[in-house]
Amino acid sequence: MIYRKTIRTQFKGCPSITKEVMDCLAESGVQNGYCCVMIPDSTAALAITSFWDKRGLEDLTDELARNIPTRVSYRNQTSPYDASGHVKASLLSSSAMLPVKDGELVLGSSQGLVYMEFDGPRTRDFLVMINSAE
Amino acid sequence: MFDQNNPKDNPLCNQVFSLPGMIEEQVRICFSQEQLENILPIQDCFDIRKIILTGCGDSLAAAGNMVPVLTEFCDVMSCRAIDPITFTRFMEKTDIGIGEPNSPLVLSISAGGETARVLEVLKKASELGAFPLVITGNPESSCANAAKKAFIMKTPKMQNDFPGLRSYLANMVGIVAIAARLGLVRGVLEPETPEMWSQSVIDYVKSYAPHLESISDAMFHLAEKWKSFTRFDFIADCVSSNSALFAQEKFYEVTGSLGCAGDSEDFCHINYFVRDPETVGTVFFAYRDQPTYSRIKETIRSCVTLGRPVLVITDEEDDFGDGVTRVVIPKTPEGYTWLRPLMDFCPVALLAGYISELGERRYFHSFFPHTYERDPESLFFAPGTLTLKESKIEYIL
Repeated sequence: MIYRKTIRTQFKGCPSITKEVMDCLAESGVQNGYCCVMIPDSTAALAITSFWDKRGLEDLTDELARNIPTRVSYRNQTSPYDASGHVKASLLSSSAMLPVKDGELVLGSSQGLVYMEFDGPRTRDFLVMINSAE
Repeated sequence: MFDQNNPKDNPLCNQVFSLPGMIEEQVRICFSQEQLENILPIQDCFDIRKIILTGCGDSLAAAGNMVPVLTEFCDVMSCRAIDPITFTRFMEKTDIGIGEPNSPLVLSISAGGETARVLEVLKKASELGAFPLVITGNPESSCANAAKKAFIMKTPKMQNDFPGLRSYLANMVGIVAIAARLGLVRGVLEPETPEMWSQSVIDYVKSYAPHLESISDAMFHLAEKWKSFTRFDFIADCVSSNSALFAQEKFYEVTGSLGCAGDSEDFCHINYFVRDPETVGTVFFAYRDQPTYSRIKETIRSCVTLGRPVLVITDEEDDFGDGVTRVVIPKTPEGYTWLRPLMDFCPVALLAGYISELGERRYFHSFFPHTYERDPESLFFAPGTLTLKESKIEYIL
């Protein structure tokens, strides 16, 4: 089953999409298998990180900004945010494959799925594909 | 060629009716990502601290109409429209900028690209280290060559599109596209805004299509009453004063009439007292969202009382009282009042065209509008008399 979910991101916002993915899993009824989450945009990425302490997420975005700043000299001339966003997104991942066991996503106790917006605000989609292994 | 027996078949009327059909292509050209990135690379966008717009005749009106868009959405310290002669002969270096590279953006408009005064502006801006950018339809022109960058309009061709209404609209759309580019790069506008703007421009211009026939009929009937008039007042406030200026210019060009564009307050102090008021065509642009709407309405009532023939262009269903011809144009969407001047010149352009036809006047006092042939006796276009292109190039640094 494939689900397409839509969210409205903020400028450089990083919303959690864990609940949306879990809702898709519950709706699918799959107990054991795998779940693929994919972001079909080139200025956004998917991260699996801790949701307990938001400062960890801020550290991630700060480090990305420090290493890939929004400067004027990119070859991509759309906008500084768009150009740097392309680089950031390429260096992270646009998808994740997660095991499904007993109807639950297999994630660490503090792990969550985060939509990393490097431009925005935009209306964005992400895809959730769930396959049963039974 | 035009149907000489049909006064509604004239260059201005045909152009007005063509605008909804051309806008999609014009927007596609102006909002071309490739062209915008070429004329305004990111580095240059960030260098710009101030914007100065210039142009001659209706180009200055087009520029003035779009000042609010650049001011609100481009994060610049100031933005203003200045006539070229002020820029080239009277403004000193310190009036223009403080020497930062590529600033101010000197955005000049010349559809043909050979206007002497605009060429001067571009040369002076270049020598001062500012950023001369020209909006033009002619990539090989003197102005295109003198500017650092040329924004080429490539307005879809139409036979007999002179004097230019299509190029006037195209120039304003071009400025909107530049505002979208600057606003996006400088982080004022959201990434999806340029696309929303381009669609809103298309939608608004096309929203006129169902109304043009009735507006045209109303202007034709008015022209039958006004065809002998040789004096006109065009009254508008705020940014609409540029539409009034454009109207005045078209009336000069195609009817040879004396016209005066002014705001409602100045009108009440000066033009109000002109003699034989019943022979002065008086045109108002009246919009409720403008802070002077009540003053405009007072002025309309005064003019009617004095016996002036009055036309009101508005987007309201308000009753302006007896003795007023009212033309209601489409409303702009909420938050998009800057779209209005893209099209609110249409009623007056139609009126000017019909008065010219019914009054048997010539365009530019020289051209027969149905044939575009020039009266060989006319001195208006004689070499050495018409100096728009041949004028001496001069500017003071």
